[in-house]
Amino acid sequence: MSASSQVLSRCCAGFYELPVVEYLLGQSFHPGGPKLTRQLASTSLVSPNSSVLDVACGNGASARIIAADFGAMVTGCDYSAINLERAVAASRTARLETKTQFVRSDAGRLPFASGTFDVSLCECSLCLFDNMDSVLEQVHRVLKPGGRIGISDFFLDAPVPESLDGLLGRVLCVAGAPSMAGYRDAFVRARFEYVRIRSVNWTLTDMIQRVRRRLNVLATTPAAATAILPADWGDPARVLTDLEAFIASGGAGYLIATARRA
Amino acid sequence: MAAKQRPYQYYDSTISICSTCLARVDAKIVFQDGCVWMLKRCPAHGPERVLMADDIAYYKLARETFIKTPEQVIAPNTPVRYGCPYDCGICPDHEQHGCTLLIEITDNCNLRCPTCYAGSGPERQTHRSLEQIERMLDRAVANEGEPSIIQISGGEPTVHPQFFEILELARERPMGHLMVNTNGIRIANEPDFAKRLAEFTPGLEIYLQFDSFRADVLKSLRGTDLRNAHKRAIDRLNELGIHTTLVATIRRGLNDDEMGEIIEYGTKQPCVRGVSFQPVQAAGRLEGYESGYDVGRDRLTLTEIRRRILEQCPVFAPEDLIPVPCHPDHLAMAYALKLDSGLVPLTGLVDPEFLIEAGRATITYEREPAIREYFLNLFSTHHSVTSQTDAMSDFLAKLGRSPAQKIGYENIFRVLIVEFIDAHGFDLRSIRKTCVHIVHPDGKRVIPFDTYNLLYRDGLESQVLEPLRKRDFVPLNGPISLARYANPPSALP
Repeated sequence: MSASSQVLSRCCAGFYELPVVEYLLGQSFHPGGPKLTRQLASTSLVSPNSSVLDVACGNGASARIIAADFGAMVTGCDYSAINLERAVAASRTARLETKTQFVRSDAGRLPFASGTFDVSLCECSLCLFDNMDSVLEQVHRVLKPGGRIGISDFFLDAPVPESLDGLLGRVLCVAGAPSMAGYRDAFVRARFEYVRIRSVNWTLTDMIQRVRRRLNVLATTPAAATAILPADWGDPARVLTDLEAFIASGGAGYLIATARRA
Repeated sequence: MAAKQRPYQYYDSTISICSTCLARVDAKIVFQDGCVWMLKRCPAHGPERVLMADDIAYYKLARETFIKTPEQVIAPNTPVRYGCPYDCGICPDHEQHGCTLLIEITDNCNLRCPTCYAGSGPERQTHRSLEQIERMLDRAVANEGEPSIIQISGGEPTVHPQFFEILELARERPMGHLMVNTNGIRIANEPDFAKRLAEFTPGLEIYLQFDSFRADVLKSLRGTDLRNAHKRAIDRLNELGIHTTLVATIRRGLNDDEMGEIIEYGTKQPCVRGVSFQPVQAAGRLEGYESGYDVGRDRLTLTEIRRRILEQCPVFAPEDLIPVPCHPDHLAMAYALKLDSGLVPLTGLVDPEFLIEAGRATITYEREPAIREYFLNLFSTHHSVTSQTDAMSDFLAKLGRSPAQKIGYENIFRVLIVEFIDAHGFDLRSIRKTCVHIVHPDGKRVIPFDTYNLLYRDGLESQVLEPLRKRDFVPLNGPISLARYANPPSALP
C-alpha cells in the first residue's frame, strides 16, 4: 500500500467507522452531496462529449451522477477494492455500465496514458493525501491539453479553536487541511493555469443543520443517545455553534477549485 | 424482472411547430444522455427529435432560476385569433416588450452571403422610402414610448441612398440608443462616410459583422474574403472613437473554434465594447450549406456556443456567462472589466457566492431585493455603452465592491450569446418571451425577429402563413392573458 492511500484510509477509519458519525452524517461523508457534485462538474466544463476521471471515487456515486446527468464517460479510480466492487454493482443496477468504468489505482500513480481525459475531478479527498503535489502532477499528466481539473475540499485559514478539538470538531473540519491560498499554490506548482477558487460554505452550514436536527432527535430518546454517543463527546450543540462561528469568521470552509491544463 | 423504463427523463410539455410545414404540434421536453431534447410529431410529416441544449444544469438554471417579470408594450398591435405564432404581433399574449427594435430600411446589400435570414442581396433593389421608414419609427415609439434600442438594419443599411437622413429621422424621436447593423464595407472604403457617421456620436453604436479571421471561412459565410475590410473598418472606428460591438455569426464546424480569438481581438480594440455570438438561424437563404441544411449536423445551440467560449477563453468561468433574465434560454451574457491588471470577469469583483449560489433554489440576491433589481438591470439587452457603464457602477456600488480604479465605459467589455429560435427548436414557452423585434414595413406591427423570419418576411406571410391560418382552426376569440378574470387571486378560499 502506498503512502497516499495509507493516509486516506487512516483518516477515514478514525471518523467513519464510529456509529455516531454514520448516524449524524449518513453513509457518505461529502458536504454538498449530489448538488455540489453537479456544480463541480458544471464548473469544470463537463459535457456529454467529455471523458472524465474521478479520483478517489469511493462507491462511484458521483461517477453515476455525472454519467447520468451530464452524459459523460466516467472512469472512477479508488484504492479500495470493496468500494470498486460496490461501484461496479451500483452502476449495473443504474444501467450505467456503458458510461462508467472503475479502476483500482493509487492516486499518486494513475495507470492512464498521458493526455487521456478532458476533465479530472476529486471530491473531498485531495487534502487527505499526504502527497497532494504528486497527485496533482499525475492529474496534470493524464489530462489533455486544455483539460480541466475540479476539486471540492476543506480549507483551514486559521488555527482550529480549542473548543473544536473534540471528535465532532475534528470530523467536521478536518484538521490539517490546506489554506485557500495553499490550494492555489499547489495548483500553480503543478503547472495548472487559470486557477479559480470559490468558497461553497453553504455545504457546511447545510451539513451542520442536518447534524443539529439529528442531535435533536437523539435528545428526545435518551436510551439511543447513550448507546450511540461516545463518552468524550462533550456538548455537541455547543460544538456546532462554535463551528458555525469559526466558519463565519473565515477560519475554515469548503471550496471548489478549478484550473486548466495549458 | 426490471421494470420498464423510458430511455429519458421527462421534463415538460410544450407546443412547437413542424419544421417542414410550420403547423403547430404537440411536443415534449426530455433529458437524455446529458442533453435536452424536444420530441414532437406532425400528423403530416412525422416525428422529430431536436437538440435544445447539451447542458441540462444550465438549461434548468435558465428556465427555473434566472427569470424575472418582464415589461410589456404600451398596447398590442394585433388580436389573438389563430394562436401563437400566427398572430404576430405584438399580440396581447406576447410576454415581453422589445428591448431591441430593428428597422430594416432596405433589402439591398453589397454582399451576397450564402446564408442570410433576410434573403438580402445586390439583386434586390428595394429601398424603403423615408415616409415608410418614418411610419416604422413611429410604430416603434407608439409601442415602446421610448424604445431602448433602435437598430437600423437591412439588407445593408449603409447602402440606402438616404442613409444619413434616416439617422436624422431616427434621432428626432425619443429613444435610448441608435445602432447601425452593418458589414462595415462602407466604413472601411469611404473615409468621408465614416466621418459623417462619427457626427452622430455619442448615442450611436455600430453593430459590426465580424465572423472570422480566416479567408476560407469568410468566403463560406459571406461569399468573399473580408479580412482587409474588417481591418480597415476597425482602424477607422478606433480612430473616430465610435462604440462598436463585434457580431459573429457562428456556424458549426466552420468558425466555432474562433470565438476565443475574436474576444481576445475585441478586448484589444479601443472602439470595441463587446462581442455578440449568434448561431446561424435556420431561416431564409441557407444555400451556404452545400449539401443542404441538416438539423442534426449543422444546428448549433446556445449551450454549445457557451461551452466553446469557456473552453477557448479561459479567463471566463461558467458562473460568468449566465442567462439573461428577460429571455434566459436564448440569451446569455458575461461582463468583464478591462482593468490595468487585465481582463477581470464581473464575478472576480462580486462575492462569488452571489452568482454561484444563484443556481440554488433560494437565490442569495432574493434576500436583498435592491441588489436583485440592480442585477436584473445589468444583465439585460437594453443597454447602450453608457447606460451599461452606469448599471455596472450601480451594481458594484450596491455590493460594496467597487474596484480601486474608476470604471468608465472604456473599461467594460460584454460578451453576449443570442440564439434566435428556428422552426426546429421552436418552443412556445420561449417564443413568447422574445425581446428582439422587427418593425414590419407596414408600420402597423412589431414582430419577433424569430417568427418574422419564419412566417412574416416578404412573401412568407401570404405563401406560408395564410394557408396555415386557413386550416380548420377553431378561433380563439381572445387572448389567454386578461386584465381581469372571473376568479381573481384575491378571492382564493
